[in-house]
Amino acid sequence: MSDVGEFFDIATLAEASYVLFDKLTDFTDKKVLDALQNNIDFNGNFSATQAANFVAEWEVVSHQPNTDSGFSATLFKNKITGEYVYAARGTEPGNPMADIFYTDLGDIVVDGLAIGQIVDMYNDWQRINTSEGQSYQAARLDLLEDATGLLFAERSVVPGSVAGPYELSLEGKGDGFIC
Amino acid sequence: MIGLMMLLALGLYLAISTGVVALTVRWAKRNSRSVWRWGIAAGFLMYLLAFWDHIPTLILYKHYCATKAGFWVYKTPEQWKAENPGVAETLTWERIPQQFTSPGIDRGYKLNERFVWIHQVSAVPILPIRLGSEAVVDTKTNETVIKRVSVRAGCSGGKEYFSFWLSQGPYTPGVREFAQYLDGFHQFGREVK
Repeated sequence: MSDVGEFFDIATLAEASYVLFDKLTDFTDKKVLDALQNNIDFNGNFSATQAANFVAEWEVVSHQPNTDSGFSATLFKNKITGEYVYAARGTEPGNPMADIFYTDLGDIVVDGLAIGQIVDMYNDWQRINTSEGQSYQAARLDLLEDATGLLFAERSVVPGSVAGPYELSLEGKGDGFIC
Repeated sequence: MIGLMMLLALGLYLAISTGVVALTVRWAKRNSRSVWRWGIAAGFLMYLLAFWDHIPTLILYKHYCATKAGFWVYKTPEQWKAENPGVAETLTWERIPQQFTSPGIDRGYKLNERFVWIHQVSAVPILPIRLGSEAVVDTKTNETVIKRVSVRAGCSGGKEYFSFWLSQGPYTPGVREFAQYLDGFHQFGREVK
């Protein structure tokens, strides 16, 4: 595929990731086609032609609606090539508390990275790669508030990295590490 | 990145507003006027410059959610089949229904030979509030069998980034029920590949 064609696909999928697929009962072509064009109910901004072309080529495999940190992503599959694309939303104006204040200001500006959304993305990826009915290992971010926890974090940090006020642990395993 | 730009713009606006209020308070002190009254007036004026439509939009959005939005079932697929014996079996449907537009209809889909699914959007003047109405209509009798009205506040088409505080909703009643009945009226008869 040419670069232009690839950029077009990526831009289209990025745009489609903002659609509120969680409000659909299933991801059939009919419902995705309408959701892509339905701005009031589903946040869709596609024209009729764009939506028809999209549905002809792509299908929605999995959708993670907005988490508390404002993370949301959709896994699309190309019907022709079988290629998968995982598209994550950027800042949503309709979700200012989570996206703008919690993540942009609280995480990116203050901490330097959107750590809450990174953890949510890890968990979503784990969920996608786990068969239905099976369990998966999920990460949880805890704020270390007491002095003992912070001291432990400083001592057990990997050399060369920076200890933060957070502890990232993998639930169910107990082998947490400090970031 | 756009979120950081919005934060920068908000910070700039807050700084200018604080400056204007501080200058007004200083002027009020020098001229023996009420500092509180002039300070609050200046702050309110700065608030209204950007957010004049915030409270009216919020109130009207809540009002429309309470009074206009809803989901109505006038006839279920089973009731329609009972009233029209033998007709449903003669209909055909496609997985992706044909889309159409016509005057007064923003978007429509031909579900089968008897039913269409139509969308109409109406906007409120001045304030960024839109009402979305969708219905499944029997084209032979022009009878609406199911209907839903949704409400959404906020700009669209990229302008929402400059007025994110206006974004409310969407308020969409009967999401699951509407989809269930829609599928019921769509999948009458035989599927055409």
